[in-house]
Amino acid sequence: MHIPDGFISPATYLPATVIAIPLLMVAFKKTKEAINDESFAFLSSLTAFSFVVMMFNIPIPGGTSGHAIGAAILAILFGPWVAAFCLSLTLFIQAFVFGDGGLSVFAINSLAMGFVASFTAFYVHKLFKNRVNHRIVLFLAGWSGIVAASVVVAVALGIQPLLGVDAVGHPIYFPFDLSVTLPAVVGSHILFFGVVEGFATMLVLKFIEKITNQSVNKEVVV
Amino acid sequence: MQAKTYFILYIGALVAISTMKSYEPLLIVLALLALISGRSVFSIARRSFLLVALFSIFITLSYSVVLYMNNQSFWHYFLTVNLRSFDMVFLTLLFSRKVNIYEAVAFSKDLSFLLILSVSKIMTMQRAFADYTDALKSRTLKKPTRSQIYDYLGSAIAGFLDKNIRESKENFEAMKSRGFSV
Repeated sequence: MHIPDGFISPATYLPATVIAIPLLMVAFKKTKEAINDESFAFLSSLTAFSFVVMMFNIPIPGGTSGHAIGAAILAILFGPWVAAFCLSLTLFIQAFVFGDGGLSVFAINSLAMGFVASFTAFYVHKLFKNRVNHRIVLFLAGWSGIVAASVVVAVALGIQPLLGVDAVGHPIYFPFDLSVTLPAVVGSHILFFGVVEGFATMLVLKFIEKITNQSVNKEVVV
Repeated sequence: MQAKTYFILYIGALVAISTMKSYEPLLIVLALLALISGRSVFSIARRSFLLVALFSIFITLSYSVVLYMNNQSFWHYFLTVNLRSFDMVFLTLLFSRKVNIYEAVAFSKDLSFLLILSVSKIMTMQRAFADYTDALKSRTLKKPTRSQIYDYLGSAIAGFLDKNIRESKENFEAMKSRGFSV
């Protein structure tokens, strides 16, 4: 879902940056408050974890596979602000250090995959956790987070033909409008990437619960 | 101080390139970037191409086909969008090679420190992940069932989370013993 540089107009990414920077500052402050004086070592560990999660290829029924982003895992375990900050930092490192993802569109990627995915997953989990089967809730949290993020990305891409055209009227940024991006981006996330994220969330959190229950004295992550 | 100035210039250049609407000035920008990059021009160009190709070629190629089917000129669009994307990625890679990124973002001591810690941890984790997958391959005699794969994925990802958090405690103690107070 990473948008590379050059496909989003300044009229989109500059306002997105104006929104993202204060949100990131609030997230950083809340994260430091939430995780006490070990915060820097802890934050860097969670950031490295969200990077590692993206390296695992997760097969889904139907014979295909993809990677998760781990937004729901972090949001459910440590809260949505911590998750949003760590994912955003991961995206920043990917864009800046590894050249993957684009710095001009960092804010849009951060708002979508960091904030929207984490908050959606967190509140879906909170809303349904005592009402529906636990495995289904975990799956739903992961799935809904990534699908909500895909809506933001689809809208950011789909409005580009309205924001920049050349002398002959052709788009000069992302060429397809909302009638294409919404079904293509959101549809693929409903049917595929959301399922991968849902599976990853369910597998990891069930495993953590299992080992927590098996040995209460053992030092585990939660 | 110099790194911060370069960072501001880099951001300004990135925004300026993103506003360009035709391929001619983008070609000039590419030539300038190639000149600045010196001997590393080919390695940066190769990496930029790989990073741009997957998304950019797929999207712009499909739209160019649409234009071609409608008997409209597609070269301007194809060249402009791909060159702009290529220039921007090239610029970012050039910047990250020539300038110390950690110094560039040192306007915030916290951010700079966090970035250094996170990148070093990511590199450690990348090595650990490679070792882990190699070890798993060498110990897998027959194709695992789907449920075994899911068990493995759940335990592996949770294991990495556990490892990260354990190490963060050790890192914190090590930092504290060396006088860091963040």
